Amino acid sequence: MRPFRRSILFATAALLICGAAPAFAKPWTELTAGQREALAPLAKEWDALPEKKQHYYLNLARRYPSLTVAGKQRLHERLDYWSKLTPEQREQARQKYKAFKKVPADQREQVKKMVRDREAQKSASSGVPPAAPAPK
Amino acid sequence: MTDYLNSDAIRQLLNRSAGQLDPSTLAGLRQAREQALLRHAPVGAGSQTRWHFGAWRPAAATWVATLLLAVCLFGGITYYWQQTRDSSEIDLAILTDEMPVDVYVN
Repeated sequence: MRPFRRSILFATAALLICGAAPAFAKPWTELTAGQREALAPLAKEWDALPEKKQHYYLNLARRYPSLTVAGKQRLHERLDYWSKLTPEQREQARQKYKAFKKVPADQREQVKKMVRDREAQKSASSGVPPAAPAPK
Repeated sequence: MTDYLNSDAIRQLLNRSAGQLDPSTLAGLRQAREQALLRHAPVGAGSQTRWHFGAWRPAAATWVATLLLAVCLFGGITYYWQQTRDSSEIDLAILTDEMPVDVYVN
């Protein structure tokens, strides 16, 4: 086999291996301590998750160390809820989030205040702190 | 006759016969050989102004196809990981946002 053809075959094989490698499923016990901390709410169901979803959550966990304490707490509170949403619901949330970011800052603050008031009312009436609701 | 000629013996006989040919026959054979070589000259050796796609060797086409496949494969994988990374970044922003997630979902 001539060197040029051999090098092309090697390059193709390398591409296939590199492309497929990150998609291999990883058991919970093989995650790093940091990844396990970030994805703690998914510990029970982790091993049953499809490879693609595991890769998605590992991508989220990658940025976990850079989050604030409040951010980490919110992530943990919402991760289970988020994982149970359908792909369509998640896509809808992304679109709405992007649209909300384009709203002028003062209007955005007004909406945030309304939501905060609503959450405070809910928690006052129920006697428990606000948590992520179950998906519909 | 029980002797068989092997390839070396045949070559020697042909060489000896060629040495016995008259000069005009030798010149004719040489000219025919040169013309045959010219007809099978590599693309671009005779004319550099035209492409001769029909003269592409199958091996070259195979290399090009392999290269294209590798480029497409690499592009596809890169696009897929980029998409995944983009969506996970926006998802993380939603999951850590001040606003509750259900505001964006419902």
